[in-house]
Amino acid sequence: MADLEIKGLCKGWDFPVIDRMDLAVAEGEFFVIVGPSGIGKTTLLRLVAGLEAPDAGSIHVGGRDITGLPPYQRRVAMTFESYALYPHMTVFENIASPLRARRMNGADLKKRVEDVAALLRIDHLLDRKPGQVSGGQKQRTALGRTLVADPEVFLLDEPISHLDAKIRHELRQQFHTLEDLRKVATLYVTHDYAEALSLGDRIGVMGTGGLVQIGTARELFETPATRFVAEHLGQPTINILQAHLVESGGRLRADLDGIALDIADGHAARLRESVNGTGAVCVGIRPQHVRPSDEAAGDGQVLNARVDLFEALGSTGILIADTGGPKLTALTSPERLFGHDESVSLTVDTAAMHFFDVRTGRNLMGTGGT
Amino acid sequence: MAHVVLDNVNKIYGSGASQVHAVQDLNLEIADGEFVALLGPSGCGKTSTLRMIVGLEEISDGTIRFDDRPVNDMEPQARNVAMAFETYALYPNFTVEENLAFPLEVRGVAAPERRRKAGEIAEILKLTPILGDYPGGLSGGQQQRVSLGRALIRDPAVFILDEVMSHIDAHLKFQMLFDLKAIHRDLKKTMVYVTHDQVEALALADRVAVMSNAKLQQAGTRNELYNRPANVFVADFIGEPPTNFFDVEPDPDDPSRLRVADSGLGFTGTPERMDRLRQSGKSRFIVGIRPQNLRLAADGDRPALSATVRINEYLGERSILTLADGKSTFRAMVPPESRAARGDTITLTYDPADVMIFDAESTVLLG
Repeated sequence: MADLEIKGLCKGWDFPVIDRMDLAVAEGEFFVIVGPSGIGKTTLLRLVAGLEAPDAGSIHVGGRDITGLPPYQRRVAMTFESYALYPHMTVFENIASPLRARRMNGADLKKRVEDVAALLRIDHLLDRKPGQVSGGQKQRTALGRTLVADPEVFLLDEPISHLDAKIRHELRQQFHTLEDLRKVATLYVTHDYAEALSLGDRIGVMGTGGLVQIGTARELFETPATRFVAEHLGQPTINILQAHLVESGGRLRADLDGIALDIADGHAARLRESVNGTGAVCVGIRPQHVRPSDEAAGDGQVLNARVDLFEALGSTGILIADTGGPKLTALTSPERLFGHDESVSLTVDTAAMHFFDVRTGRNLMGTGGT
Repeated sequence: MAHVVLDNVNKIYGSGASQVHAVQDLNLEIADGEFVALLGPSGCGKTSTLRMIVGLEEISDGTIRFDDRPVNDMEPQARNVAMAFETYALYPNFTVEENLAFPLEVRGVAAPERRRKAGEIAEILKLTPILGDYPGGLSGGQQQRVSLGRALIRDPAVFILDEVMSHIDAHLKFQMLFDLKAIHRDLKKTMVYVTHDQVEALALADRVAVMSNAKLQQAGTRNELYNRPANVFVADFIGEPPTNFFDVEPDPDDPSRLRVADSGLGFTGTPERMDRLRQSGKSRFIVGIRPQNLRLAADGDRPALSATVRINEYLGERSILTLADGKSTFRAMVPPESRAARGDTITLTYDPADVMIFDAESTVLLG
């Protein structure tokens, strides 16, 4: 039982990958790190596991500095994206391997392995070899091997990204309900934003050099600190449009190269203060806040547009609309089909717009997280 | 361009006891200019089907026709089918233009004509600015487009794409799906897209042919597959999050209701469907309802279900609730504003038309 604390951590090769990172994960907390591939997420896990040595900074578990300890003395367990199971050993022996390494044997070992396997619902597969079980079951075996070791810190590297959608849903549920995870500090890495939002008690969005924003799922999605965070979370990607602020009739409006959107009063006051003299601003509108008018639930500004492309996916439809000015991506019901060049009336929930600094990408409205 | 007909097509590998029936009595018609996806889990027979269309695999029984002409005995090159693969297989020592023109060069087309055609294809695929570049310096998306362009340049009768996007990043994939759809809109070629990913299949194709266990389960538009799945397999395979299924029996106290075993839940189908069930004389059914068809109930909504929230997964654009009642667990998709928390009891409503009822034995859709 312990918390994880990272202080001023640095690691780089030709360029800094992790630059003075501070992070505290509480005991029982499920902390997810999300970011594009190649940004250094796995490097961070390897540093905590002791598979890489940091250039500077320290790592503490339960108040104890473990920076200089070899991996096997850290009580840190890690599962890998590739499962890394022993192909010649049964599921039972794979799960038991950390206990055997600690010279545990006999009834104690058997009970511990069987308990963990039952928890993960793979107890009927204990005699099989990894080659004889499905991808989801392999992942559960790898997870079992990590759980059985009774660590203080759990590190999970993209554990479910390569599995089928259906198994992903099931394993996500399992992470939500595994009580054992609530006794340790967990650091979970993924590139899939939906996985991050679903699982994280708190989530850190990783960009170049370190964490750009930390917060709950709602804080990150509803009040992104930067344009990068807004663009990384959400499918389809948020509409980002270059705009100019104009005053007309006492109201502030965003002129988007041909169309003008009203700015909610709550935002207008803050924007007048924070925008530089040129009036240039980046406007972000999530596709879910652009709806065909007959499907829109709330108020908003109506735009007339033409359908450029439409795709009906599973539970939503995605419409790319030509507004005469910029193209806007809208979310629709998948049931109704839109043809190319059809005219469509869209309602934009202007109160839900985001405003970013054109140069720094910073959210001009402030943020909920840190 | 061609109109493609698969008429009772079979593929049998091996013989005697080790015989494998990989494709069984497959009937499928692909209209001229239509975009059809072959969708199914690995081992369902989709790749064997595709290889028979191309001519890489002998047709064991049945006929494949292009524009009413049987192609069973035709060599692959005579069929004029072009194929793009997941791996781009570009020539690293050739420029984009040379890669595009290569199939024409092999056929002895003169250089000026090759250049003209490469320019045309590059225009459609937005490759014009990089015609002089080498593949090594291109992004994955650009390489994929060059590979498509090379397949398209010889004006094939049928264009086949085999799992071309399975290893592409989610963000990039989205853009490529739109690009590919726009390319089809401009070229109006007969295209067959093979994939195990339902999102790709539904997004791209005019119609999706769902295969499982060597058989075609259903071919239809997205709405047909979603709203009228032929059987439990299709209802389960198509849909994200997955469809909820319940084992049910008629409620002895209420003839309009189907009672779920081991829980207090029950479902009401449309009166016509319930009538059909009574007439079927059966007593065990499977109810399927999609998570997006269960909505948070307002006061007085009928019909309704009550259940306890196990998990509320906030996903930004939507939230997925995992709910339980007795031994049943199921999912509902709700607006992201929902603050339902673990342990809360909530009431959901649905449209009886969204209740899909299957025969418990044959798993075929009854209504």
